Amino acid sequence: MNALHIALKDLLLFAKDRGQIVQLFLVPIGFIMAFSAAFGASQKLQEQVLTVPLVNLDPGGETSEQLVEDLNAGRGIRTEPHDAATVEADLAGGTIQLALTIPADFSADVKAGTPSSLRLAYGPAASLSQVEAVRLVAKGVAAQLSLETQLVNGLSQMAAMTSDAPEEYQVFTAERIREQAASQIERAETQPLLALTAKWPDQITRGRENFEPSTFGAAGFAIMFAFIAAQVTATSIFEERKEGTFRRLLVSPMDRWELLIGKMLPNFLIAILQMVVVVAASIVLLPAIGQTAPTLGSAPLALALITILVALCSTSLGVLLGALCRTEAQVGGVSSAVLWVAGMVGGAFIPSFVLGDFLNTIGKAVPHYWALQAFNAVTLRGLGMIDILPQLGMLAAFTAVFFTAGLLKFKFE
Amino acid sequence: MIRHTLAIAWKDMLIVLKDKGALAVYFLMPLLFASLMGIAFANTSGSGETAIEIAIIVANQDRGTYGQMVVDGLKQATVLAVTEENDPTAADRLVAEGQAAAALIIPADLSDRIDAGETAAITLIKDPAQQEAANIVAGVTNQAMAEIGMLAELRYGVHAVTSQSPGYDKAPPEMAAAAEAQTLGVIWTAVQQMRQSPVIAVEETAVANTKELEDWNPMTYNVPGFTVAFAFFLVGTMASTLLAEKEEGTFRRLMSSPMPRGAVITGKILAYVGIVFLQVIVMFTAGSVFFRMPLGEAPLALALLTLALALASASMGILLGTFCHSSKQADQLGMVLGFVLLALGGTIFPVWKAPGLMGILCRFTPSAWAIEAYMGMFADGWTLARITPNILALLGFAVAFAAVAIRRFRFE
Repeated sequence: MNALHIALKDLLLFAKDRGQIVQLFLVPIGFIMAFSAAFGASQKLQEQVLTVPLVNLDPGGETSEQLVEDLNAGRGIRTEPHDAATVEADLAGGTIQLALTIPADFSADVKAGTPSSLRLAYGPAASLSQVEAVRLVAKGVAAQLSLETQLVNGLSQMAAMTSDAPEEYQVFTAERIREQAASQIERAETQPLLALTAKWPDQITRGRENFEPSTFGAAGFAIMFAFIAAQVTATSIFEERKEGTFRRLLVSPMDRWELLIGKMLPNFLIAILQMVVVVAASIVLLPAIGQTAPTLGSAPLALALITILVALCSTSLGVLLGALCRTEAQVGGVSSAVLWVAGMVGGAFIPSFVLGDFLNTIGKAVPHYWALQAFNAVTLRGLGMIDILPQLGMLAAFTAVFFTAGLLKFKFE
Repeated sequence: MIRHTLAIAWKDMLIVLKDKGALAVYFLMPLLFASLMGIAFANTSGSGETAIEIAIIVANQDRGTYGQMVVDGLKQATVLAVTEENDPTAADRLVAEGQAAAALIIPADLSDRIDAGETAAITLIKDPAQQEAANIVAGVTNQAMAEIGMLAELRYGVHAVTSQSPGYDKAPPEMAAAAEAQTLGVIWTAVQQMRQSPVIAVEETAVANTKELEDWNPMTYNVPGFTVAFAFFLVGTMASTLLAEKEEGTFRRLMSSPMPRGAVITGKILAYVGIVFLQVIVMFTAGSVFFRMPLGEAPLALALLTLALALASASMGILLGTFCHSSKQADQLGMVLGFVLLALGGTIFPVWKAPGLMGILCRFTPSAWAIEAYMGMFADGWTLARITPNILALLGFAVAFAAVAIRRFRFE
């Protein structure tokens, strides 16, 4: 009963502290919204078409026309004719950043098998990313065109080699090869012989019509902020100590465990509420900025258990932080740094596999990783309680370790 | 006036620098964040020393040559850890359970269809919880398939042409196949040679007075990105310490002391300008020493840009202080502001380059102007002239914030 009184007192203090409410609820929502908007914009950035000034000194040439057509075939660049007389001055003066030049006699040279070079020139205003993007496209198109041309030329040579044979045995005639190559090249552009088609696992999509998972991981942020809420318990214990009210509570007629439970309960409830509010806000608000809303799966009980265990784990971590931290700096700044970095290596911010084997292994040593695995299993893979027992077990183990260590280190004074 | 200003600045700097928590947030966190993002970028772009390994399942049901060629191609990719599985349903289940990021199902009729000149498709099953990894698998598979696709096209082409020769139908199938294989072998060898010396090359040239471009170092974006983001996390601290002085009564004492009022505010701004400079020095030195991040060739431009950034951050701090009622509120609102600027200002993605509303919105944050200029200097060798608009934009923010702050500030 005493524990409930302490919890109620702390909850009332929290409810009156608008700043805390802002920090625990609006910061995560604001961050998720701003971050997902930036994420969406970055995706559009990849689709952006770069205008490339093009000097064509071989106008009307068969191969040069083909090259221009291939460069503009949805590869992220769009060529724009530029005057050969002014190109150097425009590059040097910064009017244009880069320019691609097709040399004179390009088509004739290529047809004759004589090496020819496209010139990608850049001036002081050019950025590395632009030059890199154009270089990749130009090299890709040039390689493809080279190969097609050389291949037809090579096969034609075979035709020449058999030209002395009787006509009925001349299989590789130049005309026949060109026809065959032309038909295959044309067909391969839209229908390559070997293609790759992607889909989601049948086991996941079965019974889930129009399954389309979000590419933006709002759940990771919700979990990360739930663990950052551990600072609420730590700060509450620290402030009570600083103001001397902790001693008053200690001399009051209540057991120590009641005091500890009373301190933990508000954090536990706040963490649960925070996750519910953050996920609900993501579902409602993310579609408004063009992102797919997070899915919740079909195992509400499993989802509830994950939420409860994350909240419990965060609260236990708060007790440990409260026991370990001796100064305001440690409670605030240092633990913030630790919790953010733990979230990052645990995969809450970016997928943990991209950090490489070493950091990926370290990532498994933080509870965020297991919480996220459990959450994704239920929401994205449509799994149920039984399937996520290992992850729940890990979260329970972290909770036990944090709580026991916190209890052993805790000084009731 | 100058003596008083410097005294106030020194006092405020000492307060921040003695706060270990603040040091962790303003120096350690940006360094850790930038390092982790840099490692992530290097690993996914293939330039990292620590190779990543993605688990995939391959269910090859094709008994012909093409299916095995795809499997062999995938096994050669160091980024993939390939496990073979006979049953496609089991492969689907393993991906659904998250035991592999993706599965590739090679259909039984793959080689037959290709040999007949019909299109064939390999199915990539992606784990929705590991989409980034599955997309890498798609990229690697497409690369492996491009080579095999070309061979398939050639084989089909040779067959199509050869089969038109007189007497082809009457020739024993083994003899026809041997003739086709021989022809293909000759052509394929020629193709490999052609690839070594393509008839069309791309020559890259820099016009006069243009620096040769070097390989892009992701740290030229990550380090400035997080340095600028955490320079704006100082906004809350500045506003909070200002209000804490008012709450504790020390501000009144300063007001009643024989020093000009302007010296108090200027001193506080100077302190935070100094801290931003320290942040920049620590971060950029660490970036340069540990990650070989280039620092550009315009030290004066670097100093002026940092000064403009520091002024924008400090004046925003004073402005926030005039809107808040308590130091705690300032601290918390400062954190909200810091996170919003981190996301919208282009720290994680260069949003200022994006088309549409987001790109425009990003330009309304001082962070975007600062990050763009630092990145331009470090990656592309931008000069003072090139970053002058960015410096002016930052100074514009500083003047605007200061103007509103002066109107609202209460010296009491």
